[in-house]
Amino acid sequence: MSCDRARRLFGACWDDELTHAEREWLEAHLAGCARCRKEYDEYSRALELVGTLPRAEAPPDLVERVLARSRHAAVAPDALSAAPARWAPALAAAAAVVVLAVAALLVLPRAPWRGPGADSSSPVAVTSGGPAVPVLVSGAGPDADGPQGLRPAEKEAVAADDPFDHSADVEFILDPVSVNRGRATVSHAGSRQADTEGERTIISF
Amino acid sequence: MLPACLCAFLLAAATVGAARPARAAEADAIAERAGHSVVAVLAQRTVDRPARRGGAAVSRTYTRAGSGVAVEENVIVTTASVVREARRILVRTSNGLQVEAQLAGMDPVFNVALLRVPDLRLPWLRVSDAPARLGDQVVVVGTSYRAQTTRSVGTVEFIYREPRTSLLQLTNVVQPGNSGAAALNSQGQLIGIVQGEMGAPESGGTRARGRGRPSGMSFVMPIAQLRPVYESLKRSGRMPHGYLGVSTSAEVVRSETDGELVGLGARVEGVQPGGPAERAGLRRGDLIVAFDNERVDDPEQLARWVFETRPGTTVRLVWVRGEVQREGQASLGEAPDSLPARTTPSADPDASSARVRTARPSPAARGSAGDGAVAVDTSGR
Repeated sequence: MSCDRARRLFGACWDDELTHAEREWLEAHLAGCARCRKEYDEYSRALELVGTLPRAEAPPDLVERVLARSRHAAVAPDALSAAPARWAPALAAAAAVVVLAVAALLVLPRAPWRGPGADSSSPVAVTSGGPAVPVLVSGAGPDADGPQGLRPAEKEAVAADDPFDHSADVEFILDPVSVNRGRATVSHAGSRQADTEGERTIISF
Repeated sequence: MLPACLCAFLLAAATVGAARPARAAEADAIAERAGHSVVAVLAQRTVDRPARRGGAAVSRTYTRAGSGVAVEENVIVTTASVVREARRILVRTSNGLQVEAQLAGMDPVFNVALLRVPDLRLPWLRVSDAPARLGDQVVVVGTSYRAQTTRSVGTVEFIYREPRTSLLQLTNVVQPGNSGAAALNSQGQLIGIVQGEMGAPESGGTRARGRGRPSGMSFVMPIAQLRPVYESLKRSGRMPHGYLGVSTSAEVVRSETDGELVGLGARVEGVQPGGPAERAGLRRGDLIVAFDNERVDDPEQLARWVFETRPGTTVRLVWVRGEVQREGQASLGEAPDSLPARTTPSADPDASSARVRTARPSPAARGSAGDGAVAVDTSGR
């Protein structure tokens, strides 16, 4: 009984829409119920997985096609009315696809590298927000194509900031890796080689 | 007989001749596409020296330059070794855009850092789902001097497997600044990020920096290992580490065959009261020799394995007490600090305070250092 109630709260919990009391109740229940805890783990893992899926691109004529087909469905209702209830999930999924596609169509024009005119895969500056305006660095590669939204006047500001001048102290990082008895160790801040010949070190962990 | 041999030879030559350019073109296309997703990461640290008598205060900027890979529109993965201690991080794209990046989180144990660049929209790289196998062709794309793109084609040569992690050894030649570079499979998907290359052979316990000539042996952290760290850093800005609650020192013997020092295990110098180690039955003086069916050579290794384990995991330990081998299970707690604490007992027996030898916690962990520290008895020796 309380398990059912807990499972009904999963969605709201994931979306962070629980009231304080609900959250407390759910956490107390999860602490005491291994099955629900497992269920919630699976649920959140599934949602995380879905979240990492790549965003599909909708074909440009999708909206027209969907609208045309829905108009057709409206004038021929028999095709739908006979459908039993088990179609509901499929319909919901289709609706979700339409919503996603429309959202994608709305978003896509804001991503210029996907637009028809722009270079298909170059990094683009976001010019609308933030005090830090991206700047075109002088002496960049030959494919520096002068993206939109850059102020030429900023070049001087960058030159002073450019670490690649002779007075700058630049270290190019490539961590040394040592191999010993079939074990490879990357020497960086988090890993140190055993200092067998040096002074005795006590390591706590 | 001879014509048949000649025919076979010609056929083989033609096949090889036809296959080579196709493969090269494929690698070119992969590198070309991925090049836009790879950025140069410039981590700057300014050190102010106080004014000397009669002089002005000097401020000097040090930059650590590495590579980064876009895995989302404005999220970049790089190594912690590039961005550690940085006050300001700049990201430079392949087409010459330079923006300031925010450090979303870093983990010095797994050597991963996450940067956010709200001012950029980067074409991100798809991530491979299949684990890398020996012999797989790998294209490495990174940045080096003057933020130039580097490219190298090679294969997976060996996979170093540890209890919790693994490291791919590649034949690819990597350049200084390639830490954090992208390693791509033949489908152009990200299979890992470059950590470094084979350093110069160690001598006398000092770590030589393998600089100058590329060694042709590079090492890549595979994506399976990167993913949980990335997700944890993205969610909370930090990665939880396992905690055993022991202080250990190295136990070595000199080999009779070659005179080399051989590690025997980790000698327990102190146990945190009520900690996971004590609950598992460990006592001061025990010699830990195995962790989850892997032999422990030295305490650094054991500390790394414990830190690489998620808190709450139960690990199997084997130790020697007196002449008897014992074993037990320890359910790891959560480490209070981002790195294992190292202390050197002072050479002067009268001095009771231990000196901290490497205290370089990440900025995120600063402030929590010292919580739950293990009591180390340094007077007993």
